[in-house]
Amino acid sequence: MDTFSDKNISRIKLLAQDLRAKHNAMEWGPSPEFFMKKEGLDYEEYDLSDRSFLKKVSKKIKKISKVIKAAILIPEQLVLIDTDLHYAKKPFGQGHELGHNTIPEHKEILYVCSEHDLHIKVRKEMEFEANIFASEILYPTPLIESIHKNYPLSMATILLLKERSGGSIHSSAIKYVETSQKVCCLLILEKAHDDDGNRGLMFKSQQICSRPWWRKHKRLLADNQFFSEDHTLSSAVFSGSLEPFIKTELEIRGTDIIFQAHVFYNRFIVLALLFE
Amino acid sequence: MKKKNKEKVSTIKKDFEGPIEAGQTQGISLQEVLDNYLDERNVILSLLRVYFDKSSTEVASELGISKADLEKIEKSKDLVPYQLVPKIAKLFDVDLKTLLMFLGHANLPASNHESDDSSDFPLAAQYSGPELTRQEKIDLQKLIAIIVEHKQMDKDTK
Repeated sequence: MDTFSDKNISRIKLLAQDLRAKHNAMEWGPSPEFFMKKEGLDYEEYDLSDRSFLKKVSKKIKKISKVIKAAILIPEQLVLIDTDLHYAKKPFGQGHELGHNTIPEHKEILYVCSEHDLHIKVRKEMEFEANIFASEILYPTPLIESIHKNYPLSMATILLLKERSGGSIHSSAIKYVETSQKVCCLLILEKAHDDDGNRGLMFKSQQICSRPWWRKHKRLLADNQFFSEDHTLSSAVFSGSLEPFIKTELEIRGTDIIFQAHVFYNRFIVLALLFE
Repeated sequence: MKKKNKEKVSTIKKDFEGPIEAGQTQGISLQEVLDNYLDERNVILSLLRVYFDKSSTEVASELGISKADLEKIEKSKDLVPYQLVPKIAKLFDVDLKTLLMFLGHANLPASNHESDDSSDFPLAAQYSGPELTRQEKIDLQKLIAIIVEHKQMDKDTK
């Protein structure tokens, strides 16, 4: 059994869809928290940095409390999420823990063994599967297909997907582009300075391409590309616009195509959706 | 062949059952014990299969894989696909935690390495930063024990 195979990914997605079906929740709306309650999981948000809560605890334990974002205790049927975890990341974190409780072999193994005592290869595989599960719970394949079918390729559709799924704009944009059957690409950028101290944007993480984009263009932009302040993509960020996103055009060297670019910026992240 | 394998299983059982349950391996690590006795961990699968008088076809069918895949796994030096381990434990009615350790999927819990009064709460945690050290794993177990206790107190108060 290859954990990363399409066959196994489909199996995990099916488990998430089965859970939705079991609780008659096939439309947008129900959150991972809803499913946790339905499955009998106790969900608690703890302020792990709360001094009153940890006042009798040693410094060493306080230190570990700062790095823990979420946890699940299968025997206790308890999910803990740190209140400090950014609100946009909570749904995915909840979905991830729900995955450990739903994927049969995760549940059985984590009933008897802590994840940190497992071989690193096993941990990576379990984390991968729990992430696939979380993604499918937040963005069920049939509902995503319906979004692609009924709405135009646009940053506005990504914002709609974010609202409907309850996921973050970041994960919504990735899911949208990864599942699109159109030629589109997502650039995830952040504010930065070049070697001369000039403001601009650079890649925060890898470019996400739809399959049609990949077949047609592969990766058009270098990962170390710097977009200076006067670049068309940067203008959305540095112009102080109050619009939810800016529509612009972009010409990429080596192609004779003018790409459409929808640029979203929310003080934390810059997302540029490129399409023909 | 079968008799020889059965004797090997009995030896392993006799030598390790007690110490492992007691969380100790007579001065040497479990890793060393297993490495010394078993050049290839996956031979345990063949031993279990022979000991319980099951054919490859039967075992493969009960695990939901092909006979060829089972034979490949038994001969491989790679870890048995972890998804199969709970099924194998059920099939041969062996303790899952012990099987995970024997097959190399799990280490002895960090808290068992030294005297430690924290309760063992099996857990999966998402954390930021690098791999946790052994001490951090023990601290994490303690932290979780405190949270569970705190939560119980909250419940009792309500």
